[in-house]
Amino acid sequence: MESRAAQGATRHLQARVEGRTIGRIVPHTWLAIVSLMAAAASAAILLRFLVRRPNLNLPTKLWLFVGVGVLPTLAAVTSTVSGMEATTQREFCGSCHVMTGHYDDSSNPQSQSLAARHSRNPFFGERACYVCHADYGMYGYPVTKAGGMRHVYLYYFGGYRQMTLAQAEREIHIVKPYNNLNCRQCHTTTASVWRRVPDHYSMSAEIDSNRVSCASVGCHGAAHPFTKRAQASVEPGKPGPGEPKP
Amino acid sequence: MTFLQRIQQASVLKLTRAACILALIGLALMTWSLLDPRAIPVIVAMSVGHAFGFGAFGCYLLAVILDVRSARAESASDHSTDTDTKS
Repeated sequence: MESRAAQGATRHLQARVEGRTIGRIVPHTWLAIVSLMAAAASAAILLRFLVRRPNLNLPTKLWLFVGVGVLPTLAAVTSTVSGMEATTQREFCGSCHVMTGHYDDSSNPQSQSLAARHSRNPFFGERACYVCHADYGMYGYPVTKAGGMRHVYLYYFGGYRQMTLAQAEREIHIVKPYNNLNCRQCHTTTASVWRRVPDHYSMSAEIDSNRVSCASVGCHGAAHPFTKRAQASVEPGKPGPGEPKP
Repeated sequence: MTFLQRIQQASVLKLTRAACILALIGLALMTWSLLDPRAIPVIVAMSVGHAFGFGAFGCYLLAVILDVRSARAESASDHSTDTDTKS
C-alpha cells in the first residue's frame, strides 16, 4: 500500500517537474472558447472606459451595456456550462490527492477492477467516476453536484487535505451504500440473460432493495479493491470486504 | 445644475466605474475557472464570480435609473422655466 502511495506522490512530483498539474483539463470545448472570447471583449470595453473616461453619452452607455450586461452574461452562462462539464471529468475527480489511487487504478490498462474496466469502456471513458457515482433520476444532476460540494468541504475543512494517500485509502468511505440502480442504468435486470444467472434470480429482492450490492466481493466487485484491502488492514483478524473469508 | 443633480451626476459616474471594476473582477474569476478547472476555481467562479457579475449589472442599472431620473428632473425644470418666462 505504501508503494501505491509512493507511486502517487512520484506521479504528482513528476507532473510538477514537467510543468503540468494533475487534474488540469485544457479547455478545448467550443463553449470555453466562446466564454474566453466574450470575457476578453467585455474586458476590452470596460478597460477602455476606465482608462479613457469618455462622457456618458448614449453611445458610451450602449457600449457599457454590452460590456457590463450582454458579454458578461454570455461569458457566465458558457463558463458555467463548461465548468459543470469539467466537474464530470475523471481528471477533475483525480485532482484531489486523496483520489490519486482511484484515478491511477481506473487509468491503469492492466487493472481488472470494476472501475478500471468501466473506464476503458468508451461510453464511460473520461467521465467514468461521474457516470457510475451520479445519482440516477430526475434530480440526479443537482443532487450529485450538491454531494460534490460536500466532498470539497470535507477536503478543505474535514481533514482530508492533511491525509496521506495510504491514510485516505484506509479511512475514507463512500457516504452511503452504492445504489444498484446506478448499475441498472445500463445493465438491465429484466432481460432473460440476467435472470438466467441463479444468484441474480435468487437474490433479486435483495438487489432491488440494495441489501446486496452488485459491486460486492463475490459478485462483480469490489469496484476499487485496493481501498477495501487498505480498510481491512486496520482491522486485524477480521476479513475485509475485499479479502476471501477463511 | 443643482447640488442634488451634481451628486446624482457624480453617483452615476461612480456607479458606472464601480460596475466596470466589479465586472472585471467577475470576468477574471470566470476566466480563472476556465483555464484552471479544479474544484476551488470552479466553485469560486460559480459563486463569487457570479455575485460580482450581478453586482456589476446592478450598479449599472442603478446608474441608468439615476441618470434617467436626473434627465427627467432637468427637462421638467427647463419646461417650468419656459412656462414662467412666457407667462
